[in-house]
Amino acid sequence: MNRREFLTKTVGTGVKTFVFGNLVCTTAELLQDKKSFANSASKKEEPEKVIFGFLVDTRKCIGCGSCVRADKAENGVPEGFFRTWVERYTFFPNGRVLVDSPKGAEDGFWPVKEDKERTLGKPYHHYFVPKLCNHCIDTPCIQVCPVGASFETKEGVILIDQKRCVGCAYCVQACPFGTRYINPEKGVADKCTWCYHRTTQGLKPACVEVCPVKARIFGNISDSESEISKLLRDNRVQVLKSYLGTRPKTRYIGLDSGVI
Amino acid sequence: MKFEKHYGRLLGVLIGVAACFVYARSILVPKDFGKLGHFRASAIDEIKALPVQHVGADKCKDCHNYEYEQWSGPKSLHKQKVKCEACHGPGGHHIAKMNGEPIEEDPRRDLKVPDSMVVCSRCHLKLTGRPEGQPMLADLNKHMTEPDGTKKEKCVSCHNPHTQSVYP
Repeated sequence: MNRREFLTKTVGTGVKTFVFGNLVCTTAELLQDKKSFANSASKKEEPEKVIFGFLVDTRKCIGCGSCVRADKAENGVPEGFFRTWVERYTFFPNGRVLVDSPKGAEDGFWPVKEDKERTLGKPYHHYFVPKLCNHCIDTPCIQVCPVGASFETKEGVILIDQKRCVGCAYCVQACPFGTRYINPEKGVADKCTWCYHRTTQGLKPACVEVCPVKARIFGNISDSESEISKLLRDNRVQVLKSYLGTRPKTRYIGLDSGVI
Repeated sequence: MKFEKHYGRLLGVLIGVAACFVYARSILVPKDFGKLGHFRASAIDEIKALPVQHVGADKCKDCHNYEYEQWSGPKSLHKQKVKCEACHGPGGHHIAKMNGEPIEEDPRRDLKVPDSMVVCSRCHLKLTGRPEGQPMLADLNKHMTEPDGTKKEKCVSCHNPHTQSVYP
Protein backbone atom coordinates (compact mmCIF):
# COMPACT_ATOMS: atom_id res chain seq x y z
CA MET A 1 0.00 0.00 0.00
CA ASN A 2 1.07 3.57 -0.37
CA ARG A 3 1.48 6.26 2.28
CA ARG A 4 -2.02 7.69 1.91
CA GLU A 5 -3.69 4.33 2.38
CA PHE A 6 -1.51 3.57 5.39
CA LEU A 7 -2.38 6.83 7.12
CA THR A 8 -6.10 6.54 6.40
CA LYS A 9 -6.22 3.02 7.71
CA THR A 10 -4.34 3.64 10.99
CA VAL A 11 -5.76 7.04 11.93
CA GLY A 12 -9.22 6.03 10.85
CA THR A 13 -9.16 2.90 12.98
CA GLY A 14 -7.82 4.90 15.88
CA VAL A 15 -10.55 7.50 15.73
CA LYS A 16 -13.28 4.92 15.34
CA THR A 17 -11.97 2.96 18.35
CA PHE A 18 -11.80 6.12 20.39
CA VAL A 19 -15.35 7.22 19.63
CA PHE A 20 -16.86 3.78 20.03
CA GLY A 21 -14.91 3.17 23.23
CA ASN A 22 -16.12 6.43 24.72
CA LEU A 23 -19.71 5.54 23.93
CA VAL A 24 -19.38 2.16 25.62
CA CYS A 25 -17.68 3.52 28.73
CA THR A 26 -20.08 6.41 29.23
CA THR A 27 -23.09 4.15 28.91
CA ALA A 28 -21.59 1.74 31.41
CA GLU A 29 -20.92 4.57 33.86
CA LEU A 30 -24.42 5.94 33.57
CA LEU A 31 -25.92 2.55 34.20
CA GLN A 32 -23.60 2.10 37.19
CA ASP A 33 -24.49 5.49 38.61
CA LYS A 34 -28.18 4.83 38.35
CA LYS A 35 -27.75 1.61 40.29
CA SER A 36 -25.59 3.06 43.06
CA PHE A 37 -27.80 6.14 43.31
CA ALA A 38 -30.87 4.01 43.83
CA ASN A 39 -29.01 1.94 46.45
CA SER A 40 -27.68 4.89 48.40
CA ALA A 41 -31.01 6.66 48.46
CA SER A 42 -32.51 3.81 50.44
CA LYS A 43 -29.70 3.16 52.94
CA LYS A 44 -27.75 5.55 55.21
CA GLU A 45 -24.79 7.46 53.85
CA GLU A 46 -21.24 6.99 55.13
CA PRO A 47 -20.67 7.78 58.85
CA GLU A 48 -20.81 11.40 59.95
CA LYS A 49 -17.52 13.21 59.60
CA VAL A 50 -15.82 14.22 62.84
CA ILE A 51 -13.49 17.20 62.94
CA PHE A 52 -12.30 18.22 66.40
CA GLY A 53 -12.05 21.81 67.54
CA PHE A 54 -10.91 23.52 70.72
CA LEU A 55 -12.05 26.81 72.15
CA VAL A 56 -10.47 28.71 75.04
CA ASP A 57 -12.44 31.44 76.78
CA THR A 58 -9.83 33.71 78.34
CA ARG A 59 -12.54 35.83 79.97
CA LYS A 60 -13.33 32.95 82.30
CA CYS A 61 -9.89 31.57 83.16
CA ILE A 62 -9.00 32.00 86.84
CA GLY A 63 -5.44 30.72 86.59
CA CYS A 64 -5.92 27.82 89.02
CA GLY A 65 -3.66 25.50 87.03
CA SER A 66 -5.97 22.48 87.25
CA CYS A 67 -5.56 21.94 83.53
CA VAL A 68 -1.77 21.82 83.80
CA ARG A 69 -1.83 19.29 86.65
CA ALA A 70 -4.47 17.12 84.98
CA ASP A 71 -2.57 17.11 81.70
CA LYS A 72 0.67 16.15 83.43
CA ALA A 73 -1.03 13.27 85.20
CA GLU A 74 -2.98 12.06 82.18
CA ASN A 75 -0.10 12.08 79.73
CA GLY A 76 2.91 11.54 81.98
CA VAL A 77 4.55 14.83 81.08
CA PRO A 78 8.01 15.02 82.68
CA GLU A 79 8.99 17.57 85.31
CA GLY A 80 9.84 20.97 83.85
CA PHE A 81 8.02 20.40 80.56
CA PHE A 82 4.48 21.30 79.65
CA ARG A 83 1.94 20.34 77.03
CA THR A 84 -0.34 23.12 78.19
CA TRP A 85 0.31 26.09 80.44
CA VAL A 86 -1.28 29.34 81.59
CA GLU A 87 0.27 32.78 81.19
CA ARG A 88 -0.73 35.85 83.18
CA TYR A 89 -0.57 39.29 81.58
CA THR A 90 -0.47 42.22 84.00
CA PHE A 91 -0.54 45.75 82.65
CA PHE A 92 1.05 48.54 84.69
CA PRO A 93 0.94 52.29 84.13
CA ASN A 94 3.62 53.64 81.77
CA GLY A 95 2.88 50.82 79.35
CA ARG A 96 4.87 48.16 81.19
CA VAL A 97 3.57 44.61 80.89
CA LEU A 98 4.47 41.69 83.12
CA VAL A 99 4.03 38.23 81.60
CA ASP A 100 4.56 35.36 84.01
CA SER A 101 3.89 31.66 84.07
CA PRO A 102 5.43 30.24 87.28
CA LYS A 103 6.17 26.56 86.57
CA GLY A 104 3.63 26.80 83.79
CA ALA A 105 0.96 27.56 86.43
CA GLU A 106 1.28 23.98 87.70
CA ASP A 107 0.74 25.22 91.27
CA GLY A 108 -1.46 28.09 90.22
CA PHE A 109 -0.44 31.69 90.64
CA TRP A 110 0.43 33.90 93.59
CA PRO A 111 -0.13 37.63 93.90
CA VAL A 112 2.27 39.79 91.93
CA LYS A 113 5.25 40.43 94.17
CA GLU A 114 5.11 43.57 96.25
CA ASP A 115 8.42 44.87 94.99
CA LYS A 116 7.10 44.77 91.45
CA GLU A 117 4.07 46.76 92.49
CA ARG A 118 6.28 49.32 94.20
CA THR A 119 8.41 49.88 91.15
CA LEU A 120 5.81 49.48 88.45
CA GLY A 121 2.69 50.81 90.12
CA LYS A 122 -0.74 49.32 90.57
CA PRO A 123 -1.86 47.11 87.69
CA TYR A 124 -4.91 48.38 85.88
CA HIS A 125 -5.60 45.45 83.55
CA HIS A 126 -4.90 41.76 83.84
CA TYR A 127 -5.97 38.39 82.51
CA PHE A 128 -4.92 34.78 82.12
CA VAL A 129 -4.25 33.08 78.79
CA PRO A 130 -4.13 29.28 78.70
CA LYS A 131 -2.05 27.92 75.86
CA LEU A 132 -1.67 24.54 74.23
CA CYS A 133 -0.87 23.04 70.85
CA ASN A 134 -2.91 24.83 68.21
CA HIS A 135 -3.17 21.86 65.83
CA CYS A 136 -2.75 24.19 62.91
CA ILE A 137 -4.14 23.59 59.44
CA ASP A 138 -0.91 24.68 57.68
CA THR A 139 1.46 23.22 60.21
CA PRO A 140 5.13 24.17 60.18
CA CYS A 141 5.88 21.08 62.27
CA ILE A 142 4.62 18.46 59.80
CA GLN A 143 6.38 20.23 56.93
CA VAL A 144 9.82 20.01 58.48
CA CYS A 145 9.81 16.49 59.90
CA PRO A 146 12.46 14.55 57.97
CA VAL A 147 11.06 11.08 58.73
CA GLY A 148 7.30 11.61 58.62
CA ALA A 149 6.83 11.20 62.38
CA SER A 150 4.48 14.20 62.65
CA PHE A 151 1.16 13.77 60.95
CA GLU A 152 -2.49 14.80 60.89
CA THR A 153 -5.34 12.37 61.49
CA LYS A 154 -8.64 12.47 59.67
CA GLU A 155 -10.19 14.30 62.64
CA GLY A 156 -7.68 17.08 62.20
CA VAL A 157 -5.54 16.22 65.23
CA ILE A 158 -1.77 16.59 64.83
CA LEU A 159 0.04 13.63 66.39
CA ILE A 160 3.60 12.40 66.81
CA ASP A 161 4.63 8.82 66.04
CA GLN A 162 7.10 8.41 68.86
CA LYS A 163 8.47 5.15 67.48
CA ARG A 164 9.42 6.79 64.22
CA CYS A 165 10.71 10.09 65.63
CA VAL A 166 14.50 10.34 65.67
CA GLY A 167 14.66 13.27 68.08
CA CYS A 168 16.25 15.77 65.69
CA ALA A 169 14.11 18.56 67.27
CA TYR A 170 13.54 20.29 63.94
CA CYS A 171 9.82 20.43 64.71
CA VAL A 172 10.51 21.85 68.18
CA GLN A 173 12.36 24.69 66.50
CA ALA A 174 9.76 25.08 63.77
CA CYS A 175 6.72 25.50 66.02
CA PRO A 176 6.21 29.24 66.49
CA PHE A 177 4.00 28.73 69.55
CA GLY A 178 6.56 26.78 71.56
CA THR A 179 4.25 23.86 72.19
CA ARG A 180 6.68 21.05 71.42
CA TYR A 181 9.53 19.67 73.49
CA ILE A 182 11.90 16.73 73.47
CA ASN A 183 10.82 14.27 76.15
CA PRO A 184 13.99 13.53 78.17
CA GLU A 185 12.72 10.10 79.22
CA LYS A 186 12.01 8.89 75.69
CA GLY A 187 14.35 11.08 73.66
CA VAL A 188 11.68 11.93 71.12
CA ALA A 189 9.44 14.89 70.40
CA ASP A 190 6.25 15.28 72.40
CA LYS A 191 3.29 17.64 72.49
CA CYS A 192 -0.36 18.07 73.30
CA THR A 193 -2.52 15.58 71.39
CA TRP A 194 -5.91 16.94 72.49
CA CYS A 195 -5.94 13.66 74.46
CA TYR A 196 -6.56 11.66 71.30
CA HIS A 197 -6.73 8.45 73.34
CA ARG A 198 -9.68 9.96 75.26
CA THR A 199 -11.48 11.87 72.52
CA THR A 200 -11.70 8.90 70.19
CA GLN A 201 -13.63 7.15 72.97
CA GLY A 202 -16.09 9.99 73.38
CA LEU A 203 -14.40 11.50 76.45
CA LYS A 204 -13.14 15.04 76.70
CA PRO A 205 -9.44 15.93 77.01
CA ALA A 206 -8.19 15.90 80.60
CA CYS A 207 -7.71 19.68 80.75
CA VAL A 208 -11.27 20.30 79.54
CA GLU A 209 -12.62 17.78 82.02
CA VAL A 210 -11.12 19.40 85.13
CA CYS A 211 -11.49 23.09 84.31
CA PRO A 212 -13.74 24.46 87.08
CA VAL A 213 -14.99 27.48 85.12
CA LYS A 214 -15.48 25.93 81.67
CA ALA A 215 -12.81 28.10 80.11
CA ARG A 216 -11.83 25.23 77.81
CA ILE A 217 -14.33 23.73 75.40
CA PHE A 218 -13.78 20.77 73.10
CA GLY A 219 -16.04 19.19 70.52
CA ASN A 220 -16.90 18.22 66.98
CA ILE A 221 -16.98 21.33 64.81
CA SER A 222 -18.53 19.60 61.82
CA ASP A 223 -21.63 18.97 63.94
CA SER A 224 -23.46 22.27 63.76
CA GLU A 225 -25.48 21.52 66.91
CA SER A 226 -22.53 20.77 69.19
CA GLU A 227 -21.73 23.13 72.07
CA ILE A 228 -18.50 24.28 70.48
CA SER A 229 -20.11 25.06 67.12
CA LYS A 230 -22.72 27.20 68.82
CA LEU A 231 -20.08 29.08 70.79
CA LEU A 232 -18.00 29.63 67.67
CA ARG A 233 -21.02 31.11 65.95
CA ASP A 234 -22.15 33.32 68.83
CA ASN A 235 -18.84 34.79 69.95
CA ARG A 236 -16.02 36.93 68.63
CA VAL A 237 -13.26 34.42 68.06
CA GLN A 238 -9.54 34.92 67.45
CA VAL A 239 -6.41 32.80 67.11
CA LEU A 240 -2.88 33.25 68.35
CA LYS A 241 -0.30 34.73 65.98
CA SER A 242 -2.60 34.84 62.98
CA TYR A 243 0.00 36.87 61.10
CA LEU A 244 2.14 33.74 60.74
CA GLY A 245 -0.42 32.06 58.52
CA THR A 246 -0.34 28.66 60.22
CA ARG A 247 -4.16 28.75 60.59
CA PRO A 248 -4.50 27.40 64.14
CA LYS A 249 -7.52 25.29 65.02
CA THR A 250 -7.39 26.23 68.70
CA ARG A 251 -9.52 29.33 68.90
CA TYR A 252 -9.84 31.95 71.63
CA ILE A 253 -12.59 34.16 72.90
CA GLY A 254 -11.46 37.41 74.42
CA LEU A 255 -7.89 37.29 73.19
CA ASP A 256 -6.29 40.68 73.75
CA SER A 257 -4.00 42.22 71.15
CA GLY A 258 -1.18 42.30 73.70
CA VAL A 259 -0.91 38.51 73.87
CA ILE A 260 2.27 37.21 72.29
CA MET B 1 28.64 6.86 19.91
CA LYS B 2 30.70 3.78 20.60
CA PHE B 3 30.20 2.04 23.91
CA GLU B 4 33.63 2.35 25.53
CA LYS B 5 34.72 -0.02 28.31
CA HIS B 6 34.76 2.61 31.04
CA TYR B 7 31.10 3.45 30.36
CA GLY B 8 30.26 -0.04 31.50
CA ARG B 9 32.05 0.33 34.81
CA LEU B 10 30.37 3.66 35.52
CA LEU B 11 26.95 2.24 34.67
CA GLY B 12 27.67 -0.71 36.90
CA VAL B 13 28.52 1.53 39.84
CA LEU B 14 25.38 3.61 39.35
CA ILE B 15 23.16 0.54 39.16
CA GLY B 16 24.91 -0.89 42.21
CA VAL B 17 24.31 2.25 44.26
CA ALA B 18 20.67 2.43 43.15
CA ALA B 19 20.13 -1.21 44.06
CA CYS B 20 21.67 -0.71 47.52
CA PHE B 21 19.43 2.30 48.07
CA VAL B 22 16.28 0.45 47.06
CA TYR B 23 17.20 -2.50 49.28
CA ALA B 24 17.98 -0.30 52.30
CA ARG B 25 14.73 1.59 51.83
CA SER B 26 12.74 -1.62 51.76
CA ILE B 27 14.20 -2.54 55.16
CA LEU B 28 14.15 0.85 56.85
CA VAL B 29 10.77 2.23 55.80
CA PRO B 30 7.95 0.56 57.78
CA LYS B 31 5.52 -1.54 55.79
CA ASP B 32 2.45 0.56 56.54
CA PHE B 33 4.09 3.89 55.83
CA GLY B 34 2.18 5.93 53.29
CA LYS B 35 -1.13 4.09 53.54
CA LEU B 36 -3.09 6.93 55.14
CA GLY B 37 -0.66 9.72 54.41
CA HIS B 38 3.02 10.47 54.91
CA PHE B 39 3.22 8.59 58.20
CA ARG B 40 3.16 5.11 59.69
CA ALA B 41 -0.49 4.09 59.71
CA SER B 42 -0.33 1.89 62.82
CA ALA B 43 0.75 4.90 64.92
CA ILE B 44 -2.86 6.03 65.11
CA ASP B 45 -4.01 2.82 66.79
CA GLU B 46 -1.01 2.86 69.11
CA ILE B 47 -1.89 6.34 70.31
CA LYS B 48 -5.57 5.46 70.68
CA ALA B 49 -4.62 2.55 72.93
CA LEU B 50 -2.87 4.70 75.56
CA PRO B 51 -4.41 4.25 79.05
CA VAL B 52 -6.96 6.78 80.24
CA GLN B 53 -6.03 8.22 83.64
CA HIS B 54 -8.91 10.56 84.47
CA VAL B 55 -11.96 8.40 84.87
CA GLY B 56 -14.71 10.86 85.74
CA ALA B 57 -16.80 11.39 88.88
CA ASP B 58 -19.16 8.51 88.17
CA LYS B 59 -16.43 5.93 88.72
CA CYS B 60 -15.66 7.43 92.16
CA LYS B 61 -19.32 6.98 93.11
CA ASP B 62 -19.04 3.18 93.26
CA CYS B 63 -16.93 3.24 96.44
CA HIS B 64 -17.13 6.80 97.73
CA ASN B 65 -20.90 7.12 97.61
CA TYR B 66 -21.14 9.27 100.75
CA GLU B 67 -18.86 11.99 99.42
CA TYR B 68 -20.45 11.70 95.99
CA GLU B 69 -23.92 12.31 97.45
CA GLN B 70 -22.60 15.34 99.31
CA TRP B 71 -20.92 16.68 96.20
CA SER B 72 -23.91 16.13 93.93
CA GLY B 73 -26.44 17.60 96.36
CA PRO B 74 -28.76 20.38 95.19
CA LYS B 75 -26.93 23.17 97.03
CA SER B 76 -23.40 22.08 96.16
CA LEU B 77 -21.67 24.75 94.09
CA HIS B 78 -18.68 22.59 93.32
CA LYS B 79 -20.94 20.05 91.67
CA GLN B 80 -21.72 22.06 88.62
CA LYS B 81 -18.11 22.98 88.12
CA VAL B 82 -15.38 21.23 90.10
CA LYS B 83 -15.11 17.49 89.67
CA CYS B 84 -13.43 15.00 92.01
CA GLU B 85 -10.28 14.63 89.98
CA ALA B 86 -9.65 18.36 89.81
CA CYS B 87 -8.68 18.43 93.51
CA HIS B 88 -7.80 14.82 94.21
CA GLY B 89 -5.85 13.85 91.12
CA PRO B 90 -6.56 11.19 88.48
CA GLY B 91 -8.46 8.07 89.45
CA GLY B 92 -7.06 5.60 86.91
CA HIS B 93 -4.21 4.20 88.95
CA HIS B 94 -6.17 4.25 92.20
CA ILE B 95 -8.98 2.13 90.75
CA ALA B 96 -6.53 -0.28 89.17
CA LYS B 97 -4.67 -0.69 92.48
CA MET B 98 -7.91 -1.23 94.39
CA ASN B 99 -8.88 -3.88 91.87
CA GLY B 100 -5.56 -5.60 92.45
CA GLU B 101 -4.18 -5.01 88.97
CA PRO B 102 -0.40 -4.70 88.69
CA ILE B 103 0.35 -1.06 88.01
CA GLU B 104 3.67 0.68 87.47
CA GLU B 105 4.13 3.26 90.23
CA ASP B 106 4.06 6.81 88.97
CA PRO B 107 4.02 9.69 91.48
CA ARG B 108 2.40 11.94 88.87
CA ARG B 109 -0.68 9.74 88.92
CA ASP B 110 -1.13 9.23 92.65
CA LEU B 111 -4.29 10.29 94.42
CA LYS B 112 -3.97 12.74 97.25
CA VAL B 113 -6.14 14.06 100.04
CA PRO B 114 -5.34 17.66 99.37
CA ASP B 115 -3.91 20.09 101.89
CA SER B 116 -6.80 22.54 101.87
CA MET B 117 -4.70 25.66 102.49
CA VAL B 118 -2.85 24.96 99.27
CA VAL B 119 -5.57 23.51 97.11
CA CYS B 120 -8.41 25.89 97.95
CA SER B 121 -6.17 28.96 97.48
CA ARG B 122 -5.44 27.88 93.94
CA CYS B 123 -8.91 28.95 92.93
CA HIS B 124 -10.13 31.15 95.77
CA LEU B 125 -7.27 33.48 96.59
CA LYS B 126 -7.72 37.02 95.35
CA LEU B 127 -5.26 37.51 92.55
CA THR B 128 -4.49 39.97 89.84
CA GLY B 129 -5.96 38.46 86.71
CA ARG B 130 -8.97 36.69 88.15
CA PRO B 131 -12.34 37.73 86.78
CA GLU B 132 -14.77 39.30 89.20
CA GLY B 133 -17.36 36.50 89.18
CA GLN B 134 -15.06 34.16 91.09
CA PRO B 135 -15.59 33.97 94.90
CA MET B 136 -12.27 35.19 96.26
CA LEU B 137 -10.51 36.01 99.50
CA ALA B 138 -8.01 38.81 99.68
CA ASP B 139 -6.83 38.43 103.24
CA LEU B 140 -6.43 34.85 104.43
CA ASN B 141 -5.28 35.76 107.93
CA LYS B 142 -8.28 37.93 108.63
CA HIS B 143 -10.63 35.28 107.31
CA MET B 144 -9.13 32.57 109.48
CA THR B 145 -9.38 34.56 112.72
CA GLU B 146 -12.59 34.23 114.71
CA PRO B 147 -14.18 37.31 116.35
CA ASP B 148 -12.93 36.10 119.73
CA GLY B 149 -9.36 35.86 118.50
CA THR B 150 -8.94 32.10 117.98
CA LYS B 151 -7.30 31.10 114.74
CA LYS B 152 -8.55 28.32 112.55
CA GLU B 153 -5.88 26.11 111.05
CA LYS B 154 -7.24 25.10 107.69
CA CYS B 155 -10.07 25.84 105.29
CA VAL B 156 -11.66 22.49 106.13
CA SER B 157 -11.85 23.48 109.83
CA CYS B 158 -15.01 25.38 108.85
CA HIS B 159 -15.88 24.51 105.26
CA ASN B 160 -16.95 21.16 103.88
CA PRO B 161 -15.30 21.07 100.46
CA HIS B 162 -17.87 18.69 99.03
CA THR B 163 -20.93 20.73 99.93
CA GLN B 164 -19.46 24.23 100.59
CA SER B 165 -21.57 24.46 103.70
CA VAL B 166 -19.95 25.83 106.79
CA TYR B 167 -19.79 23.26 109.59
CA PRO B 168 -22.07 24.00 112.52
